[in-house]
Amino acid sequence: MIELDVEQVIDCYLHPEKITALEPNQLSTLIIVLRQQKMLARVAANLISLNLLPDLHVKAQRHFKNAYLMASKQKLQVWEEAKLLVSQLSSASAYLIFLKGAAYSLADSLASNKVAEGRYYSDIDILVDKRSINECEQVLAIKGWIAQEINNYDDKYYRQWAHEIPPMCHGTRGTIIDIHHNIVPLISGAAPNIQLLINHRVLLGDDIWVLSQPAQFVHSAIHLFRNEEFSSGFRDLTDLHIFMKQNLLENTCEKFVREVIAIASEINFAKEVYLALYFLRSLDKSLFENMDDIDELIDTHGPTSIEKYIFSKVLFPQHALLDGSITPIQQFCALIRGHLLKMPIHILTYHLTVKFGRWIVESVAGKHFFTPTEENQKTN
Amino acid sequence: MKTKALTYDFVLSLPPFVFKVKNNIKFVFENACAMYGEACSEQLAGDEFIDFTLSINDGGGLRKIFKPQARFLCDEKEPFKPLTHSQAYAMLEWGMNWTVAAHEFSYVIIHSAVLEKDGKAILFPAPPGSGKSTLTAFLANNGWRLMSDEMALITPNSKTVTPFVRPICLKNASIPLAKQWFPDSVFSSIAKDTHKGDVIHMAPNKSAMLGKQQTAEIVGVVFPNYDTTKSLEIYQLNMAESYMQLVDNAFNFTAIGEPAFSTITRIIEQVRSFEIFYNDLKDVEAFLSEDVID
Repeated sequence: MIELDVEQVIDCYLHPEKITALEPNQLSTLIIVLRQQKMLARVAANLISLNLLPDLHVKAQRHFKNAYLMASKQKLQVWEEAKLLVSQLSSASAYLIFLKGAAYSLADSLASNKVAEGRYYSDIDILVDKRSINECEQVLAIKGWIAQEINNYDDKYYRQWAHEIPPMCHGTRGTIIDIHHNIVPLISGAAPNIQLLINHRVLLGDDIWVLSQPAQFVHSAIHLFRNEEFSSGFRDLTDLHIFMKQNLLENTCEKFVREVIAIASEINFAKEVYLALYFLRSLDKSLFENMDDIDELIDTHGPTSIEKYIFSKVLFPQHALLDGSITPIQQFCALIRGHLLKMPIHILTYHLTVKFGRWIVESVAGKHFFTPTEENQKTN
Repeated sequence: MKTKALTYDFVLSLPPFVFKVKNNIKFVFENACAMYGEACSEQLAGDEFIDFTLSINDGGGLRKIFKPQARFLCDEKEPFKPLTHSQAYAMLEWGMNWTVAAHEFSYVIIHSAVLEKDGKAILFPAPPGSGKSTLTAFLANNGWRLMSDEMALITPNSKTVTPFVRPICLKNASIPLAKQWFPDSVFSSIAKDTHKGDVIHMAPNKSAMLGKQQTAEIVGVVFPNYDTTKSLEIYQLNMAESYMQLVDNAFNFTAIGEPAFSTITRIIEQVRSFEIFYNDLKDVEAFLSEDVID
């Protein structure tokens, strides 16, 4: 017996009132799946804004409230973290721009940004001047940020080929920051002239800068459709959906989409934006009503058949509790596609040899073959 | 024909939570049955709402043959590194504690034992090694009702504590003592050489299980310190001292924020807090019965 399927989970996101009709066992499955998809707080925010929470099983209410509280707390804290980072890095880098999750929350503090509602994130992403990246790293180290331990292969990967340096974690607060100097890996050959993107920054106050909403959308689409791993795929797609939805409510959808396409074309990522628009349209047709021109553009520049095959699955919730939702072949194709976009084939071959070597040992010898047990660690 | 790996899945109905546990280690299931009795079942009883899906497994692969491990997962998240296989049951107990502490913000959760008599509850917050669990085991078998050995679930802006009845986790030297004192109690198998030393779990007794949904009002806070050199010494703490110690022991204080602050403030303002040093559990019991709950 199927308790809940992928379609129903998507439906519960788009139409929160449907959650009130679920049986208790479906509801508990929904909550477990949404938590794993990092979507529990987002759906909780929808339920709260529609005042639907009281209609649910009392235990379900508690889980939604817990998740919402956690996300709201993070939103409160991020402004303080941001101010601190700005003051610490102001002399090191010519610019400092907050990206993705943190940027959504920061922007929300000034004007309602629905993407921030119930959006949690594990780290704060910032963009700084590549020329001063070493200086930024040193300044942060002095201020108590500690480079996270990674193996030397991964460190080399970051330094030589990536668009960011290894994440740093604050010694007492535990906040993690990802310091970027571009939005895609340099080795991919696709890294844009970052100045073109920086031109679309906006000031929020207290010297805190984020990208404009259309530029945020573009960055988010690039991130999603050049990725190789989709455990947060649905959450990321709903980020984009909420941007659109907000513009739909304000009757600015067409203008917004045109700006998005213009920015994407300027930095050579129109492909990713059309993919985003295509899959948003298949998620929620209502976004594109009365936009025939845009519809045509999406049809012309949309996905290839292999991209349709991959993304029609990996962008949506995959969980063992949802029957038939896990699609290993599509996941594998997405992994290969994402890697090919990240680096040229000769580098990729080397990279995958190293990664696969470890993976094979782990899958034959056990997932934690390389992981010392706590007890071993103590004696080491 | 498809062969299915042996599994020993079960459901733990432990108010206020229901855990579904996917498991492929036989002794984990046997221990869970021994610890929880009727609250542990192989099937979900009808339409119950599952709060968390946990798994305990041996890690699989070849390593299973030459050096088996125990892994804990909360849904698909793995919060701890694996332990050795023989520690699997203890790992499940700790994993459940982690799961609740990491996800539950509708209660202010304090790392504390809770015991009740006549509807009045006393919190015993304490770090490991203070003798808290031995004291808990003693009281739970001498006229007090065990509400929890590990966490006090306090309704925000009240002094009401909700029981979360679980086994008592005894360590090292207290293991033979407990077995000698409470010969009728049910014990789990021993998890050897954990980060807390040798560990055993002692099943909650009948009165604890019967009262597993009965809340109680906090009337006192006692910070215990077992000290062989001291026969009962009692110090009443001032509000600031008590506040600091409670906050230190509150798992979700920063996540909850203001309601957690006001809840703890209310407790320290309305009930007395003591720090005690003792080497005889009977003295402690007498002090609690005569001076704290009266």
